Amino acid sequence: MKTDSLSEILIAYNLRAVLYFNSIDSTNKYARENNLPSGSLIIAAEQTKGRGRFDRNWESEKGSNILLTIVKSIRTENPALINFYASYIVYKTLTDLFTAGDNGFALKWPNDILLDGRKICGILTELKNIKTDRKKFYIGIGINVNQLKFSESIRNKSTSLVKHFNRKSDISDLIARIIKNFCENIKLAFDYSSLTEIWRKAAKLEGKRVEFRLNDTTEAHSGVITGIKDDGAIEIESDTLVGVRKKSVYYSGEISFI
Amino acid sequence: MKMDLNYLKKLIKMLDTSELAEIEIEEEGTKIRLSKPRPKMVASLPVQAVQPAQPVPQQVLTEAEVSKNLIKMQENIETKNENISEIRSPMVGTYYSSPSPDAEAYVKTGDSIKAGAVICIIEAMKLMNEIECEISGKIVKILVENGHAVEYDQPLFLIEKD
Repeated sequence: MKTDSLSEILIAYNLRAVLYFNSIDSTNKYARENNLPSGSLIIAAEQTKGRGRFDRNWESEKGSNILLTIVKSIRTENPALINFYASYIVYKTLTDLFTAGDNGFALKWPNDILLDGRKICGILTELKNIKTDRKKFYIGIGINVNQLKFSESIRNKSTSLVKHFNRKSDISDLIARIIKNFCENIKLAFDYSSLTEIWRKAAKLEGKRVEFRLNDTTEAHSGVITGIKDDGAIEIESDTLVGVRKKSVYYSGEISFI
Repeated sequence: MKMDLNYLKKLIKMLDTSELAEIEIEEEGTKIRLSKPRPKMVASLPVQAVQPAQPVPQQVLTEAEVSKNLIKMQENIETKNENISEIRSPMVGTYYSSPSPDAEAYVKTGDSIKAGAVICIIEAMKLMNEIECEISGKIVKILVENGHAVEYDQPLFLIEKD
């Protein structure tokens, strides 16, 4: 099935501009520093300072992957849910296009996408002024598409579409599909209860054993996921205290499946 | 009223940053009384807060119900310390004092800042919120440690207005 080209989508959804960079420090940084308007899309073949949370490096081979930032203003009272929307859109695009079986694509709280248990997509969103009603988000999305080799430090944690499916994908076509889905389903970004319900059903995280840590400087502890709240928070029943069952709700942190 | 650690810490902080010598609250049969020696400092300046005895808990507790008493007391404190403003967290999340672990903190105690300057990041579910200072003034105290969880409306900074 052929999808519309990115330039067709640009017009169909009245986006502002698509900026392509051969090489740039970070698409999010560029969008923020230049205060690009809502509806801008920044795409790069290479990021020299791509980063994830806790300032972790986002490694990506030049020209092989999707590196993009969507600038979008939304009137919302629950800004953190934009990442659930973005991760669901990417997840939906990938699962509509590729059949990866039961152990295929998975959503990982708060907004990573895994393939075969390894990271294939990471999302990091920045927001400048939370106090305004209409909030401008810089949604950074990285997806490993045609990269075959990963550095030793992330080899066991990362994968790509080509590694699983043994065929290369058309990067522009994949971006066009993601943007189309993003624009077509935007109502979901405002509809918190539907969004978290859809995300919950897609992620199927309840009952899974995980290790949780708040950030790189804190110790991990293990437990069982008991739910995803309507505001996106994760509830984990910790099993670190002998004889004491304690449920905790977290708005920040990282889980890894064990 | 919820007699949890967070609630007590809020009370202690409030007493510390106020000119009150004593706070006494009674609700649902539970009584709390906190007192401190009379401050020797100039009345308009806040007393240096005593470090809480416990580290800030790592997990985010369900939002403690703020009693009417508490709100009334906050109002009192704010009107008494006209020059001192609190910058509060607009959301639940993790407090980061710098844009990245290796970078310098946005602000430190004693810094003069202009309204609109970024003073910290609150991260929740990988949404990084740059928190801007709404007023111009001097940072009197930073109330949260880097990498710690913060609750909605939790005071982050004390700022002496210009």
